[in-house]
Amino acid sequence: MIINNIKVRNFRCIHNAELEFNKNLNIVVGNNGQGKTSLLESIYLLAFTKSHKTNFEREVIMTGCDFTKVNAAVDFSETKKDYSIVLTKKTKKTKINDIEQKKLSEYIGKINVIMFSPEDLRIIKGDPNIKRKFIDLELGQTSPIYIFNLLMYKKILKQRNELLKKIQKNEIDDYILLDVITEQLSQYASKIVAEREIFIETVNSIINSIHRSLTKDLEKIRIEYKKTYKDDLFEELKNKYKYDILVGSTSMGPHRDDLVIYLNDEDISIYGSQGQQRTAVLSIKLSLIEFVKSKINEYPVLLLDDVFSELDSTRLESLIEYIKRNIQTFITTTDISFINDELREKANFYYVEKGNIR
Amino acid sequence: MKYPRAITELIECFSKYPGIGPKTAERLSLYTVNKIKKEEIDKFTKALIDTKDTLFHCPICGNITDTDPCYICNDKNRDTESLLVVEEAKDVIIIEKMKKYDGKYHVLNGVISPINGVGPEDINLRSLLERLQDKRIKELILGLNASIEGEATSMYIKRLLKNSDIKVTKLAHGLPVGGDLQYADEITLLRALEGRREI
Ligand SMILES: Nc1ncnc2c1ncn2[C@@H]1O[C@H](COP(=O)(O)OP(=O)(O)O)[C@@H](O)[C@H]1O
Ligand SMILES: [Mg+2]
Ligand SMILES: [Zn+2]
Repeated sequence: MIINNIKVRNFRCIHNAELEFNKNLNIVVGNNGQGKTSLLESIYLLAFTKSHKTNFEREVIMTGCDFTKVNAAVDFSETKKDYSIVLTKKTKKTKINDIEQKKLSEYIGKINVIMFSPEDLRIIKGDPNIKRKFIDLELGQTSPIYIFNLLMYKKILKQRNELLKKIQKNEIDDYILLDVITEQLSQYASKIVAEREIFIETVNSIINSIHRSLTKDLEKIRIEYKKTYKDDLFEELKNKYKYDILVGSTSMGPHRDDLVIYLNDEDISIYGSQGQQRTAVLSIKLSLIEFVKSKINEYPVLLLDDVFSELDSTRLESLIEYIKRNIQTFITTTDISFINDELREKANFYYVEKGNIR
Repeated sequence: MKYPRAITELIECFSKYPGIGPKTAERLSLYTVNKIKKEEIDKFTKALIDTKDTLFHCPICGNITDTDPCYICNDKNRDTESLLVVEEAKDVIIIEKMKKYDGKYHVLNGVISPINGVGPEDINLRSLLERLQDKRIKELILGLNASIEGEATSMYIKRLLKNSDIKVTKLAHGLPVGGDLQYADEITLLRALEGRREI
């Protein structure tokens, strides 16, 4: 898919930008703190309705403004569509072709984006909840049913935890209800976990050859989904009622599961060097491009934030090999000397200064 | 500057309704003052008072009624073999409009939701169990919403009837009629697929 043009209003330091994009390569140049990342973040927001930098989307609204708006025309192999998102401090409205999309699961995943940014090291080193968010986002972008099941699961989880607290405080004493809500939770859990496991399996089947070529055959990478329970969540939770009531929360399930990445069979978050970790992130992201392609038969848009400061030259070369395919790519950089002539020729350049882009 | 007491009180009254914020309440109140005639107001007040003076929940089915029992429970021509369980009175009206169901109803007046402080004791379940002692009832149809609370309530009822001979069925959630498959969202499609049956 190709983002043809974009309009950005009141987004962080970008007051007003209207840009036409190149269908191959778009290079965003400027000094630090001028708004390069913000431009990529606005594309990310349009795709996911979320920011890759903050959990509080309203932070992206320009200080002193009531709203931010991003809209874009996107070309797919068979159609074209207009997308827009408007955020105020309290609301989030999305539209496709001017028709409001009430359900998030119906909007997210229509524009597919893979972002590579300095924050991504968290996929490797971060808390389990950051890793789960990563799976949810990347998987969600090709599966509205996954997003739906996840939303349902979270609602049931809240109900169950509330019930546990009420039983703890002797406000209610109904173990049939606890059974029922536990069973309901387990039903959605098994759908979520099954989809996550297939996702990880698929990524594993793609990632190895990518990673081997990035590391000249030296490293073997494998991602493992780590469940907090064995196989029958319902039965296992039933055996832990006492504990769950005591702590007032649900001790097992997809909301507690984790992801471990192994490099030559060692946990990379413990044994991997900074460079190895960065390479692993790159391999994961490149595999995701192929994953999305395999799911929707179309390449996602690639957003590369500050990659030149993150990667060494051999890895950059492999990345550039990727960019040469017909994948629309956005790169931010402070220094254009990194970009070779071949790439320059097919690129559009955008210069960013204090939020102004030309 | 302040409104006279009658207006501030009216604003306060309107604000009690769900979905009505202070601004709308203010607008409705001023509209009442400026535009609505005295006779209309008298009708309005009487209707409001009547909701409390004449209406109650049917002691048999829980539906809102002004007769004891309600006209549906009182209807001798209705099929006594099936009972359709719904969340609220509104659902009875919708199904009755269809004129295809001639069994009786049971209105729960709520769904189980620990977060909202609603447990099984707080909805109209006990009287359902009492009704089901009636051996003529063969089928209990669950017609609750597809929300997680509706789903949990259905599962709870099913569990309570685990050892009874009553057949428990659930309304299928499916595709909207006249809707092309390609326009149905994927979740609706999935639910329709899960609720498919042999033809
Ligand atoms: N909500 C906001 N309103 C106005 N300015 C903001 C807001 N959030 C961040 N900024 C400013 O916008 C700039 C963000 O720049 P960024 O896009 O990260 O720059 P770059 O990637 O070019 O280094 C920073 O100078 C920051 O102070
Ligand atoms: Mg930046
Ligand atoms: Zn009745």
